[in-house]
Amino acid sequence: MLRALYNGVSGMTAQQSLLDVGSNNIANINTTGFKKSEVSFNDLIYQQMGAEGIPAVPATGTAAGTGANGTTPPVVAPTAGTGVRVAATVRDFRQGSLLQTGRPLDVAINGQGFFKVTLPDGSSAYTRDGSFNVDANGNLVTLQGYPVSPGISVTPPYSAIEITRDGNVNVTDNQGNVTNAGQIQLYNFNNPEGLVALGDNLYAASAASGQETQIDLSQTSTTSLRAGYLEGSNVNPAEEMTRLIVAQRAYEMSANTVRTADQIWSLANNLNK
Amino acid sequence: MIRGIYTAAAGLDVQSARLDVISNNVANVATVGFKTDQVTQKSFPGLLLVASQPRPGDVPVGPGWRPVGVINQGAAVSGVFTDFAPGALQGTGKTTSLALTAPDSFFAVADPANPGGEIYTRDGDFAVNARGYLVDDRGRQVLGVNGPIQVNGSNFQVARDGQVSASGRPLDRLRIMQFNNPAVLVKVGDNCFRAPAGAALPAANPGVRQGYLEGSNVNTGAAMAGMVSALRAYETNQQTLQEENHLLDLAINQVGVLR
Repeated sequence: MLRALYNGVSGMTAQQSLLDVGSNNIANINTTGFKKSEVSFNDLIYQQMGAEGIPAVPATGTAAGTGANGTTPPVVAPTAGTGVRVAATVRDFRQGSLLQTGRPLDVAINGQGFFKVTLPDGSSAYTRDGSFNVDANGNLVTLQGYPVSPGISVTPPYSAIEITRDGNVNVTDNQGNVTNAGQIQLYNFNNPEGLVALGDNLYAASAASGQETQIDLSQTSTTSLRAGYLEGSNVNPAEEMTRLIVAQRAYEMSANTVRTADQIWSLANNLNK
Repeated sequence: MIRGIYTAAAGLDVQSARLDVISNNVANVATVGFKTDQVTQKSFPGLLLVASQPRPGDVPVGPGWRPVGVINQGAAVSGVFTDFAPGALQGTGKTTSLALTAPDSFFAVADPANPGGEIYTRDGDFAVNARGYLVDDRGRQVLGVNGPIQVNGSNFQVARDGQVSASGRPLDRLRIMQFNNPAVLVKVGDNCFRAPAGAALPAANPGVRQGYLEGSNVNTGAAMAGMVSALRAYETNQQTLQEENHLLDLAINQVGVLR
């Protein structure tokens, strides 16, 4: 009964994680560039029965089986599992839908890749959130004020800014002259799921994600930038509702296990009445 | 009576073991590729009951006693049997989600404890690691016919027979194995099975589906009913034990008491 109790606890803890992840996905359903997370479960080790006093008497036979061609199943000592754990919380980097805003400095990535930004301490972070602004010094920055790689500088006064499909920033000044202020760089990773989430829609590279590789926007046809659009989250409401239902019902079942183990323990305690 | 107490205690233990296994199934109801376990019980080996006086005409079989019958001293767990029925397919749409529709096929994954060896799993929730290899959710490399499969990104296609190709160019074929007798597979945790060497044969028709994951095959109704049955059988054995205890009390404290 102790094992059943702990199996039930492991089940409840695991389903709690599923609920936490699902609720975070739902909370961020309107966050620009948000990528939803999913949970993978793994079963835990199996222990051989019998050592703790439970009568376990496997059928006779050899390890390879008996009979012609080993037709009689071989002896395998009975084992009991020890529950479940969360093996991984995986982020899903598939494309979110593009939402039109009409604002020239809003850029959505259509395809794979990340914008690179420079954090105040000099390190790099990556983001899909293309809600850009021009700060007081004329630099193209994100909503938090971090400059976008490779550092685009716009000299005021200007009448219009156009960001093309391949990331070139063209500034039209008050006289109608168009100058190119630079090209926004996009970077990709072998394993984007290995990126570390920093919050504020930012990710940092890690050993699991691999090194960044630059995407040449002039050459590729699979990735492009769309100005005047923002990428929404890739959260699927129906999938999240299903996730919540599964988490709740699985939690209920494991709670039932704990309740049953408790009743059995109570029966054992009352043996000598 | 003492014999009866041990018989009832064996019954209690067996029901407790059944609940342990059912509770593991319930805890893993949402685990991809999990296969339900069931406890098989049998009665203890029989003991011979003998009468000490032979009847006239009996063939003597022992020194002054004759057999009356056989009694079993309780129940025991004879094995834990894994049910390999396929679980329900859940569509995820991810290229790295793979499911096997043939019930006796398994993916082969590199065994971390034994370099060069392999362990088997139904859990197709794969990912691509930083060096471009297809790995499972514990980071173990998924094996193809020619070694670990290197896909370099998530743009690859897997055909029904396990052939992996990227941009039309064939990369490798997934090493999918089947077993004549799935009972040789032993669960080792982390959604994997170990098999004795040489038992695995290449699967003929694995039926690989890309974009799907196989859920657990836990039958929730049966698990709930099993828990109720284990609980009530435990209660019955507990009642038996209490009765034996009561009889023993009568024998010790009441028989021969002078009033």
